[in-house]
Amino acid sequence: MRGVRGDDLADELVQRQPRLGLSPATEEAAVACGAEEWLAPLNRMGGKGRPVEEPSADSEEAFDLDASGDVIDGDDEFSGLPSERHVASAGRRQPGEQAAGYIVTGIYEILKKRLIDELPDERTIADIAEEYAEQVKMAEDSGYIAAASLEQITEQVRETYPLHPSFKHLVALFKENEGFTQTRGLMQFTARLLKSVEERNYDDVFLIGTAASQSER
Amino acid sequence: MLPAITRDIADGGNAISEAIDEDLGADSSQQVMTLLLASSPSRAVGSRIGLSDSEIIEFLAAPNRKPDEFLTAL
Repeated sequence: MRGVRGDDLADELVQRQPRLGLSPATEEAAVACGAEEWLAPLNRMGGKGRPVEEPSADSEEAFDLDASGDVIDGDDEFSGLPSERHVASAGRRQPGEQAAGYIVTGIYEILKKRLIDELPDERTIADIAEEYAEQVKMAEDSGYIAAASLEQITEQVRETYPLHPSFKHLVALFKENEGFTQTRGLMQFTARLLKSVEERNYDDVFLIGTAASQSER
Repeated sequence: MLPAITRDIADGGNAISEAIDEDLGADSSQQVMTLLLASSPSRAVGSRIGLSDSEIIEFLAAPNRKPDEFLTAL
C-alpha cells in the first residue's frame, strides 16, 4: 500500500472485494452444517487467497499450473467448477482431496474435450489403469520409486486416460517459457504428440506421454 | 536443438539411443531420451531442468513395459 493515494486504495479495495470468497461467518456456518468440504472449492471460485492481478490478453482461455503441475486457475468452462462427472465421483474422494481433484483433472478435461473424439469403454480404461498401477507398484517394490497406493494410481489413470498421469508434471517444467501460450500452447503441443502416437509403426501405446512419440527421422 | 536430437535420439538408426536400443531389442533408450528432451526446454531463470532417475522410471511406466528396461537403458 506504500505510496497509494486514497482513491487508488478505494479502487483497489473495490477490485479486491469480489475475490474475497466466503466470509468467516459463512465458513463457520458451513462447518456447523457439515459442509466444510465445499469451502475450498467455493473460496477458490471466489478467488480467496489469490493476488489481485490485471487480466492478460489471453486470460479468457488461460489457465495456470503450480510447481507440481496442478491447474490453479482456468477459463470459465474449466475453472474448477464441479461438473456432473466430478460430482458423481466426489463420493469416492476424501473431503480434503475433493477440491484438488477438480483442479488437477481440469488440464486433462480440456485436452480430452478438445482433442479426443472418442474414448474406449470404461472396462478397457479400467484394465489399462490397473495394469499401469501394477507396473508402478512393481517399480516401487524394486526400490526405484516411491509411489502411492494401487487404488490412487488406478484412479489417476482413469481421470487422465488416454494421457499419462505424469503429463501435467512435464508441462509444468516449461510452461513459463516465453512464447508458450498456456492453454493454446499446451493444446498445440498435445496435438502434435497425439499425431506422433497415431503415426507410430506399432500400436503399442496405452498411455500417451511425451516419451511415446515417434522420433524417427 | 536439431543437431542434439539427431546425435542423441533419432537419426535413421545412427543416433546414440538408437544404437543402444538395437542392442536392447526395444525402444527404451529412445523413450528415456525423448522424455529427457521434453523435460529440459525450460528457459526460466533458476528453473528445474530434466528429471531424476526415479521420476524417469515413474513417468515411463506403462502397461506393456517393465521398469527394469528403462533402468538398463539409463
